[in-house]
Amino acid sequence: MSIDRRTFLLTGVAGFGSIMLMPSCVTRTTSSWQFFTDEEAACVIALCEQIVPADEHGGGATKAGVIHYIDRQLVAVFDYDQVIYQQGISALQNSCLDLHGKRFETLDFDTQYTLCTAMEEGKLPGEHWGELDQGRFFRLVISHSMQGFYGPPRHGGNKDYMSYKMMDLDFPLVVGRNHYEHLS
Amino acid sequence: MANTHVNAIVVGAGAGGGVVAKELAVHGLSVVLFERGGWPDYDAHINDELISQRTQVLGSAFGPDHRKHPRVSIQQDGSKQVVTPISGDYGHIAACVGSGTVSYGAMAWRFMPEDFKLKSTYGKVEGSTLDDWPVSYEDLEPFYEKAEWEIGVSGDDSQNPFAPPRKKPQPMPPFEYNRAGRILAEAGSRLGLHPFPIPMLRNSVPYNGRPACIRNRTCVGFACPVDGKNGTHNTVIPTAMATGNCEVRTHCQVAEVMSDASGRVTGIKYFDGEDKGQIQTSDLVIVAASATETARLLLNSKSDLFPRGLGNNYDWVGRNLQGHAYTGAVGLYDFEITDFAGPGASFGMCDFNHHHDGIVGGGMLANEFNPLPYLFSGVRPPGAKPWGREHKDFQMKNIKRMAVLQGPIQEIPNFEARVTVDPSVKDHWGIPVVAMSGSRHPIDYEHCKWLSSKAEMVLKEAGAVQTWQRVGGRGLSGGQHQAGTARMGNDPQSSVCNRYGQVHGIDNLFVADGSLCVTNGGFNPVLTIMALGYWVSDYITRNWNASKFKS
Ligand SMILES: Cc1cc2nc3c(=O)[nH]c(=O)nc-3n(C[C@H](O)[C@H](O)[C@H](O)COP(=O)(O)OP(=O)(O)OC[C@H]3O[C@@H](n4cnc5c(N)ncnc54)[C@H](O)[C@@H]3O)c2cc1C
Repeated sequence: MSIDRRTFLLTGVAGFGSIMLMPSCVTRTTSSWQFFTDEEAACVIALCEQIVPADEHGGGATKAGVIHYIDRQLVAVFDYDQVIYQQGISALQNSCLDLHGKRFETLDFDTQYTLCTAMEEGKLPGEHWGELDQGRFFRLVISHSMQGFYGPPRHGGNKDYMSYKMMDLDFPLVVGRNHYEHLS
Repeated sequence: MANTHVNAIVVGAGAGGGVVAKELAVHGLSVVLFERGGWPDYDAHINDELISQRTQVLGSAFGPDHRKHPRVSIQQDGSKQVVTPISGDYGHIAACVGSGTVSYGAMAWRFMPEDFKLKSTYGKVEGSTLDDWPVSYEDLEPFYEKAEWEIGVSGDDSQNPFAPPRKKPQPMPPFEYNRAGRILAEAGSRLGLHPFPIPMLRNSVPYNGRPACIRNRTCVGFACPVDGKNGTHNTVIPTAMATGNCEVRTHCQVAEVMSDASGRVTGIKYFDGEDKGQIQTSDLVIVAASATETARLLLNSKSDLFPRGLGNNYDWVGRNLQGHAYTGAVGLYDFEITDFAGPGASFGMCDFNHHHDGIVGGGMLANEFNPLPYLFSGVRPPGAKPWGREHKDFQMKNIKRMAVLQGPIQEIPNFEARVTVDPSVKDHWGIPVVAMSGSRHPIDYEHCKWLSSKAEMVLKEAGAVQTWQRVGGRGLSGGQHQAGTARMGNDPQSSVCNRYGQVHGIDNLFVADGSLCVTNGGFNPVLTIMALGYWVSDYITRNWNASKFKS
């Protein structure tokens, strides 16, 4: 919660203006996503998988479709976060190219992990980030990933209620009464 | 076409307003109950955590609409942020018929006699506006009883040695403990404390034509799928409508209370569901829009006679904003302590509510509502990594192995914790919005540390393998338990309303919500607000004759 709040406060007034005045103001090239380009999506998918990885409990963010959650919200409720995503992804990619000569999503899991830890601590090369606070960008993706992975499937993530099942929270909420809604 | 003049306008169909509308309608007054939201509907949001009244990162199922209702939050350093329900720091209850009583946890506490007399019990507290209520527990007792029977409470006070005296038991038997409740209650007993089942505005047995609670896993933050949770939306408001005397006008944003040259109020201005400006006149206006929005409405109701807003001649409207700092501790167990029998909170203890050296007031302790998956992803021991393998592993292993014991600390009011209106930030209709500023009294944090240590002690006694404290009590107050912004008092120079909720000097303007509370108890406040609704209504109906007060 505090992450969401902090993040928002930083975008504060401008954010509110954008909700009212300029939904979806960014023109994008065609892609299979509502907001992301295919390249951006590949990066975010890998980033989210670091945040919620597949493990012995089951699949991670990729399998749960967290990217669908984020992509969908970025043209809706989170439209004021569009710019920070674009800038953050680009800065992360430039940092990776600089340090490893490769894009983030093509690096191996452990290297990605090290890069995420550095980003969290604000230690990726500053020249690629400019005004943007890399720790803040990472915390934003963390909170969105948690929402997409642990929130209900109706918003695009948590495919087939997979995280609920991993926590053994599957339906019914009370025997014989409630059922998962059927998504088309 | 002009709206037909009525006897009474009630602004806000929440806890206080719902009760008042019913009482006036039953006594034959014609009433329009205004609500900015609509009727709640379980099927529209099911058990969707991200729009529940607990998280709201994607919006509030029970309002208000984040696109239409900005607010301003003024930080300690004076900087100003525009906030919405999805951003956090917004401090609202809800916006629908029933308001918080639709999605609440439904704990049904009576305040203790001392809660109405904090100043005479504990003396002055430096830097605070601490005062006694002009109303005693004994005054409110019959109205607590009425709330318990008409709205419906399950409980058994005989198990609580600190319970205030009552004439009649609660109408329904108490709920059974869930697993965490049983284990923690036993630990509490071993420590010499006095656990008992929490009184609840939920049906333990069928009541008033609605079914018993099914112990749904998701409860607080959500509407009830079987209607076994009791709010004003499914009790008193339908009763008011059934009299034929009360119209509920939903999706109407009240902008201003109008007054005339004689200093009496004449009705309200509002925007209807099509955003059209409208006027409704009445003999009486009762404002019950919740502590933050009631203050805003009074402050926005300016005239030549009331240049600072209604009831605000002495600058007390919006002051003493209170709520509850929640404070307690978390325990992890090596077995599944949570069985997810809803709503989660099931046992409470009043051992820490009064008469402890160095503590002004104190607070009740109860086990916490069932964890929700996204919110639980933010619950980790201090220093734990908020992402990655370790974070996920903790989630899967511990969501059923965690118990939280916490409670609402009695906050000590101060003059600078307040609601003002910000003329530069307007809502969808162009009405200046709530701005919140100030912070809690520093003593609250000390009290919170004390109560958290008590909670941790009980969690350990219950066999926790790891515990940590979550200490509240700093920053801005208000929120879901907001109170105090139009406080009652005998002195018009240091309060907004008299002991009957009547605004000083304006005989036909009343307040009937959490704003009236001089102090906010060490308990969740809703039953007290409902009792105040009955108390205010009782005064009005006893003194009302046709279209005016008896002289
Ligand atoms: C998730 C949650 C859990 C809770 N759990 C508990 C609990 O377990 N126990 C407990 O005691 N309390 C609980 N509460 C708190 C409880 O709901 C509040 O204390 C109570 O509802 C406050 O009553 P009120 O009459 O002051 O305001 P409200 O009930 O909020 O009523 C105010 C109403 O006025 C309307 N309104 C405001 N401004 C305007 C306007 N300008 N025009 C038209 N309408 C307007 C609002 O939309 C709202 O419906 C909980 C609250 C929430 C949100």
